[in-house]
Amino acid sequence: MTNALFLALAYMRFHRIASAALIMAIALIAAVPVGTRVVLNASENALGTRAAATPLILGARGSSLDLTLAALYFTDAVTVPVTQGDADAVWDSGLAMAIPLHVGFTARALPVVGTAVDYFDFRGLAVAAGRPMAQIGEAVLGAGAAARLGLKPGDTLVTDAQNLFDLAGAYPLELTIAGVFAPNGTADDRAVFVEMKTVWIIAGIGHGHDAVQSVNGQSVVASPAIQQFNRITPENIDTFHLHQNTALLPASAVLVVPYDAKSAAILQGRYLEGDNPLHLIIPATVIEGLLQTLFRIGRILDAVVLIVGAATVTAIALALSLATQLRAGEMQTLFRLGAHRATIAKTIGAQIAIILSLGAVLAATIVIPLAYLSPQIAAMLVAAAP
Amino acid sequence: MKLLVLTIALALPTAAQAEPLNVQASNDVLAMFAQRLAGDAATVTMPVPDGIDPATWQPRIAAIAAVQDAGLIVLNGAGYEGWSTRVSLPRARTVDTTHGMDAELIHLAGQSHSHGAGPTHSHDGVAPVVWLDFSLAARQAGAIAAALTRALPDAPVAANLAALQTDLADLDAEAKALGAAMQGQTLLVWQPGYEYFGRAYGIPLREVTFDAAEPPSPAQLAALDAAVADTQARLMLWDAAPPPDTATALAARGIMPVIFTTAANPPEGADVLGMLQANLAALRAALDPA
Repeated sequence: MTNALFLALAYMRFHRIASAALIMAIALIAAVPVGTRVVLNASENALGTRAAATPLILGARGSSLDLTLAALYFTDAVTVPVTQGDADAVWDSGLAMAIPLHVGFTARALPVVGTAVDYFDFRGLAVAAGRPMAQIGEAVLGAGAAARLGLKPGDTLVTDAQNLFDLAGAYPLELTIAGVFAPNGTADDRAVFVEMKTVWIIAGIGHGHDAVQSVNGQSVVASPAIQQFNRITPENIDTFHLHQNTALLPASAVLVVPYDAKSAAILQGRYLEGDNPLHLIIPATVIEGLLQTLFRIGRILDAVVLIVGAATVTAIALALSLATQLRAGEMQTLFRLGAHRATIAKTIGAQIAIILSLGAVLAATIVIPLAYLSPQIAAMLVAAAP
Repeated sequence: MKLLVLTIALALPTAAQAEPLNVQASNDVLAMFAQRLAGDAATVTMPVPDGIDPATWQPRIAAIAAVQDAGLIVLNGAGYEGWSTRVSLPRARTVDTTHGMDAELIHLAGQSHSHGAGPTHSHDGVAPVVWLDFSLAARQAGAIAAALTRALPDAPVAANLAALQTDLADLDAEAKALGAAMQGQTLLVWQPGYEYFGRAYGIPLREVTFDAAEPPSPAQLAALDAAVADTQARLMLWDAAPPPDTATALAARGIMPVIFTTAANPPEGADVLGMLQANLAALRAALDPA
């Protein structure tokens, strides 16, 4: 057997390019479908886990998937907002916590998420540096956002202008970074969190400006000379105010966390009527539907991979067969030198076994790290996907 | 469901925790309520430094962070904590003790005034010193008790609430008796803050603004003279003893100052309930000097 291995290795060394190509082909045909499935499974787990960790979402009646993606992944797919008053109504019911979320604004292309500090308790977000936001004008960054922007507590970040031609609309606001969260492998990692009041100021609903001066004893109602602040400082924070009843101010969605199963059932019943402009959805159900669709697509991909794999295996078998036929003269020489037919078969068998083994080892070196890193890869894919 | 339970457990720490519940209350009356209701199961702190009116307190970041970290934050509401409108507070751990009292709140249309070198301001909006109507104070205590019961299910909050509400009912009965004894006599008040007391116990009030540390201005004295002429009032409620010049001016007009504190931020270690009882005793004594 040692002799057969020696001869097989010698042959492979002599035909190293052809042998390496075969090993690579075998490794890829094994690693690609397995690796894809590993990452896909991890992504499905990540989607399902975040959805399962969110009991209910309240939003304007419409697409449940859009509402779920906005509430869980901070997409700006929700076009019709709910109000802070809708969240207050949930609180006042005594049946659940209600955590408002406002999405749609960005800062250097990362989502600016308006919410309450209850969100951090709810998601178990731990501050790794600095502190949670304490007042309007402050932001806390997800770990990924801080790394991408290269920001730390004490730095500033300016929100992106939305529409240069909307004179009454959102002006960029300079945010002070109060803290950075530890990574949790979800969409929270790439978000810029601010207070709801801060996001309303970004939206132009609230603002701060110089004290209105009176001229000849009469108030100046509107003057172009009044300076509007685009950063909130200790000196001007008291000038910031909202121009609307807070209960009427917009939120994209409200995370609803019932105190118990009975409270959840009562709340769901309250939003069942079709003429209610709001609906209360179970994100796990919505994501389950999405995963079922992904699962069906995955099955098609599996079939494609299976067909391509079978074709590749056939091609490899053909290549080995042709290579063996090309070595007919070499085999004949061995036979004439006195080698037994079994010895010749062993030599060819050893060569095939070595190629398959090396292919398997190479596949394992791809798949094992991929499996180890799959939660992080899935988190990145899931967080960035929408 | 496990996650739901975990979430609620995180939001509302239980008595099973070794450490007492950290409670932050926005004035000393509410702090007293919270401490009496929770007993040893909570450590209650009032974050406003001595000598500062909690209604005008402007917390620094460190103070905000301390409040945010509390297991329960007790607010008066009704616009009392102006700072709360620009601060991020966890609603799941915050109790607004006047929530649901909209019908009972008094809406003001006050006039602008200033205190010494302080900024000119007015008290437009909602009158916030709700607890001087002791029946509303009892409801505030009930709101705190409900929050503490969720946070400290093993603490004897219900029994403590009954005892506290008995004390408040005694104050309410005494105040009603005082109101009846005053027979519609007007009380002068040195600044806003007594609206609920006056309304609850049928006592007409007339505000004549003075400063706690400055001598009276001619305009203030003129306003005092006008008020005395209109109402024949002879008593004036003060949160603390008036400055000497003001006391002299009051005495010259036959006005007796009565120390009637809101007890929102008394010196450390003061007996808040005792101060509220002392208010009524002082007013009773002023009504009947003999």
